[in-house]
Amino acid sequence: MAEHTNQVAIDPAEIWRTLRQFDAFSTFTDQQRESLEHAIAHEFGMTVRRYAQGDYICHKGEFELDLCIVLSGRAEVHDRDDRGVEVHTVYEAGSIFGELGAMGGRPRSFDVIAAQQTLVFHIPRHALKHLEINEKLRGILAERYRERAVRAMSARVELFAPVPESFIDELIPHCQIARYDLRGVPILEQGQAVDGFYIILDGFVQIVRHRADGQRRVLAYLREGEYFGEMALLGTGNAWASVFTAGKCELIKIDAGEFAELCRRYPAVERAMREAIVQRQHQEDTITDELSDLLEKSGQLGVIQSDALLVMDLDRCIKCDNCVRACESLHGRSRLIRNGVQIGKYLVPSACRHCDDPKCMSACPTGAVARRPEGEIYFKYDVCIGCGNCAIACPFDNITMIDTPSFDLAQARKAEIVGGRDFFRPYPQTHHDAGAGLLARLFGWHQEAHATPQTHEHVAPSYPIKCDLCDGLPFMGCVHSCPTGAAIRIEAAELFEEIGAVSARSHIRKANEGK
Amino acid sequence: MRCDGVVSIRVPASHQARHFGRLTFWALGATLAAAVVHAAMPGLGARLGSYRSGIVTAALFALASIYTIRKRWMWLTVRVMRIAARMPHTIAHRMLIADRLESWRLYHVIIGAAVLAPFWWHLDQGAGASRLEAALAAVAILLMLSGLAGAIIQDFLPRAMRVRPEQEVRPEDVEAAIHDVYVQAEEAILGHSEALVHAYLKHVRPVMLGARPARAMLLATISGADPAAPVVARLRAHKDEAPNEAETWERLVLLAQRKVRLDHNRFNLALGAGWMRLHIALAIVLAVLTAFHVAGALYFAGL
Repeated sequence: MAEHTNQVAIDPAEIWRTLRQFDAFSTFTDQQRESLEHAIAHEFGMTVRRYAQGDYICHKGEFELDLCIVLSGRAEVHDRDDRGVEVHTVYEAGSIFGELGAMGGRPRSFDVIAAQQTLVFHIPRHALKHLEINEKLRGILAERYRERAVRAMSARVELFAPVPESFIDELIPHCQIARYDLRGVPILEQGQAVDGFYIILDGFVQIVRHRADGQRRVLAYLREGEYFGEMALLGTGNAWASVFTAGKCELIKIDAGEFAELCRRYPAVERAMREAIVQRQHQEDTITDELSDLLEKSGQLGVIQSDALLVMDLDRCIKCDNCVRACESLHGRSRLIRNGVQIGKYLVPSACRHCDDPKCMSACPTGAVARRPEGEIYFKYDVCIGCGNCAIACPFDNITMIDTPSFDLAQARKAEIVGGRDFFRPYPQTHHDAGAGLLARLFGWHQEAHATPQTHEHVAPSYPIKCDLCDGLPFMGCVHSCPTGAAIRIEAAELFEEIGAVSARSHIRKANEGK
Repeated sequence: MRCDGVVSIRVPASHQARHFGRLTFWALGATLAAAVVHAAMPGLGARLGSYRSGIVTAALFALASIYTIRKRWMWLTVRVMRIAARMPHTIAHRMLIADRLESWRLYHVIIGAAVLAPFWWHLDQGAGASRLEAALAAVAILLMLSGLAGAIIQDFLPRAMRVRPEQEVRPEDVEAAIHDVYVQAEEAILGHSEALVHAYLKHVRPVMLGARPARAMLLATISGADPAAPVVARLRAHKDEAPNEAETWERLVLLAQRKVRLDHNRFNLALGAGWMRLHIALAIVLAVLTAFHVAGALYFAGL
């Protein structure tokens, strides 16, 4: 397992002695303390790191899913938020930051820089439970998360662009965070009274309208940064359409009465909402029965939530299998199977979709499934233990576990293709002979190497592989090797661009090529 | 939002690959251009002579064959991309587009058609050709014709396949679906009357286990007609052989209909791959005959 260069070896009891001085840890019972100390000693990723003055503790935009507690020293934020408002925050000893990443899986909002020599206790997302066993700390974290999430999201919601910062300050006390884990959970029911205005913090919701003739039509999918409940707020008070979760999602619910009052004081918000209402009512006329079915099917199959979807235009695909061959040629083993669901004239083959809400990431016990700032999901093989949870969790079977020798060969192949840029192997090569050359195998040299006493290193029997969008190459093998241009990598939402049923927001460069 | 009469979703044009339109037009255009050049310069063959026109012909055939290497190995692409990495961004981007297999296919087709001109000039010099040379000329022409046929097939087959509801893209998936349909049919008759079982064994099972004639399938692909329609009509006519089992019989008819459509799906996949095998075989024969031809020319005529 790789260690951070600035990691400091401190006895768990010593860490606890520092933590207990902070107010947030004041109510820990002996049992909770023991549990925490045990976790610090055994849970992967719970580390203390030392930062010199000027070192970056967090990088803005990175998906580092650690909660950070300053044990000693001082860290600072000097930045501007998405609204352009200057932010200056000082984190003294005892300060906690990184809740948005650790609790919400969102990227860092700001660069955090050490102002002097600083010791920071990092608690990865999967280890948060060891802190949340304490009621007081759980409450503090939840409260801070609510405030930061609302503030961060408000800065990005177009609706709030024309209002001053004071509006957000007034808004925060009236906000609640609502989390949903399953698809199809009703949030609003058409015709029923609505007691809140909702902003989507994460995930997708489905807007469904039941028509007078009894037909049910899916009108749109709303995503992070979009809102609903405005028609009830400015109209009859009843929901114009039903709203269901389209998977795991998180919402900010604002009390309807308080928000209406705020809107009266800030008419720009109300004006923007009225414009949105006209647009949404127009949407009902655009969506035909067939389109509604396509939208429904795409939501059910999880296609909507894909940030980088591989689609094959069946009007052009000549079924030559070149895409699969190219993948195999580049990676040693194909990460693509030309079999999957069909949406309209597009085949969605089995290949990683880089989901908006990756189940593999949530299922990984060591944080080995990570996201790049651009949105691509990748494996950190240095922390992978080969448990296979990601492969089990992927609802689309797009992750394959392969035995370690095959994995090593595949990594070596990729390294060779990318031109000597050494791809990381999570174990010493001498542990098995998969990578040994012909001469080495003939003369048994690899066996000597095998005997090197490195047995303390852990080698998992298998490792996961999946499409990494040909990381390190300027093209994607499957798309680049399609003789007819049938293979296209795209954000799923863009398939519905013409009807405006889903807004496209993928940051993945290779899914945005051509824009 | 309508594609072929079916409401669909669409990839925005900006995301689509550089599409060169119908390959058939490029192939026919290049062939026509080669023919016009040959007609416009009838004396060029004589000026070039047998050796030079032969060398140009062989070189163009060799150039066209690079496509098959690029198609099977990424080695070439990776080398091109390494060179591109040292170039300014705009040039690198153009190199990336130029290296797409889609672009390579276009080069292949244009070069393969353009080779007609030097080939023709070379033939013009070949008075009193031997049997080997006649065979070589025939194979070269067949190769070009099979290439043209391939362009037509690759242009029109994908759309023709989309007409049917069965649109599996891998042969193994078609086989699995056919097996599944057969199992469903066999299970559907369990516990039913003897008359139904007899009618099934007599009329439906042969459809389930048999294959449709290739000619009928080809006609269905070209005309767009449903190859299952006559089978369905014939089976429905036998409905009375299983009295009081109309519902089950109809289910069996629909399963037979699906089986025939899957057969058609399988035929179309085989057609897409089959012409390619023929094209490759002709290319290999051409290469072998050319080697003999060159060796013979050098041995008997000398340099």
